[in-house]
Amino acid sequence: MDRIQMLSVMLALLFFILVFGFIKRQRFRERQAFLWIMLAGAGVLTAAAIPVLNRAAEKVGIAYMPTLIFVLAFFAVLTLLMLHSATLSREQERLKLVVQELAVLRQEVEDMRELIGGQEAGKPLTGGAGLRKPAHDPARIHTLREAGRSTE
Amino acid sequence: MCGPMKRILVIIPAYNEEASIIQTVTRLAAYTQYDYLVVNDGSTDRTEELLRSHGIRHVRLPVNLGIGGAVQTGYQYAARHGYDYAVQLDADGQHDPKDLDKLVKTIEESGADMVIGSRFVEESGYRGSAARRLGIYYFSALIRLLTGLVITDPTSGYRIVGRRAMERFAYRYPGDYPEVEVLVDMARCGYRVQEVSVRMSPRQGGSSSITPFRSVYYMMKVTVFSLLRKVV
Repeated sequence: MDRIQMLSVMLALLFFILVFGFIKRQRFRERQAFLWIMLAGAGVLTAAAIPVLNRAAEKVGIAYMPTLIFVLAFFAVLTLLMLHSATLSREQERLKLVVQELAVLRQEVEDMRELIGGQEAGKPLTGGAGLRKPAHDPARIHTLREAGRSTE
Repeated sequence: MCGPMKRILVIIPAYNEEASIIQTVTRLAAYTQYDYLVVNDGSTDRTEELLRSHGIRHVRLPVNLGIGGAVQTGYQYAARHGYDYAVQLDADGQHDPKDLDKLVKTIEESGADMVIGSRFVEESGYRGSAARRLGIYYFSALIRLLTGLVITDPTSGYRIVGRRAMERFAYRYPGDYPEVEVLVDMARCGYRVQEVSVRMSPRQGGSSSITPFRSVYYMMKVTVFSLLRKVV
């Protein structure tokens, strides 16, 4: 193992340790952690396998071996970016659904508040003015039924 | 009126429409008995305040989702609350509520999945800029090419949908510039789309979202996604 290869392996290991530290401190969720572990592992392997890469580059007709590493690294990074983009899109879609659901639910809660006696938003539903009437009050039950019909 | 009254929800997406929202809703309430729901798309002006003070039925999205996300909220609401039809009405006052009955009648009688209020089915006195008319012509040709559908006013947001389309939109609806893309999607799914003539007036307030730079993005985005919708 010559000096440059030792340096490469050391740098790759350093990166691996960095990734490991991030995972230990739970900076990534499982899927992302797995992705980075794989990438860091690939880095270490690449650094360790420089002689193999030299032969491979020669076989596919690449005169300058590091170009092969760059090409591989480029595709690895591109794939990673695409996976991130996919994750981001999925999260945006989920966030949108949550926001929509929240807005509709809030409206429904406000409708209910109004129904049980004009309670203002921000106050707890129980024990307020609207609940002073007993539950068996026929008028109130009637309005609740009506409400059930209009919000079903 | 014959037959049972169908339940209709008018969806009014509003993003910073303080200048026109009250007038639009007042006009709607004056001409029709239909339920309506304003979707306040995270407005940063006085829209929310006005809606509250006038006691107008609305939902407030805590963040701005864009026109697609706002309208979709309305479709979700309509689907969840068992409405038979949902109509989209612009908050800026361009859509005339007097035409609502026409849209409702057309969709009921034809049994189509969507009826679009078109400015061009017959001479309706619409005067848009040349660039806008060129854009509309382009999208019309694009839809015809991709789906065989003849739609004279594909960018019109004044449209009514039945239960089937409503449920699909509640679950899948494009985020921005949804009108054209949705038509390609509907044609692919075998939904029936019709047009009926309506009048549109100039906007009451606020400003159009279409700037020269955006219109280029608009054309490209809609073209690419319409092509995509054709296959996926």
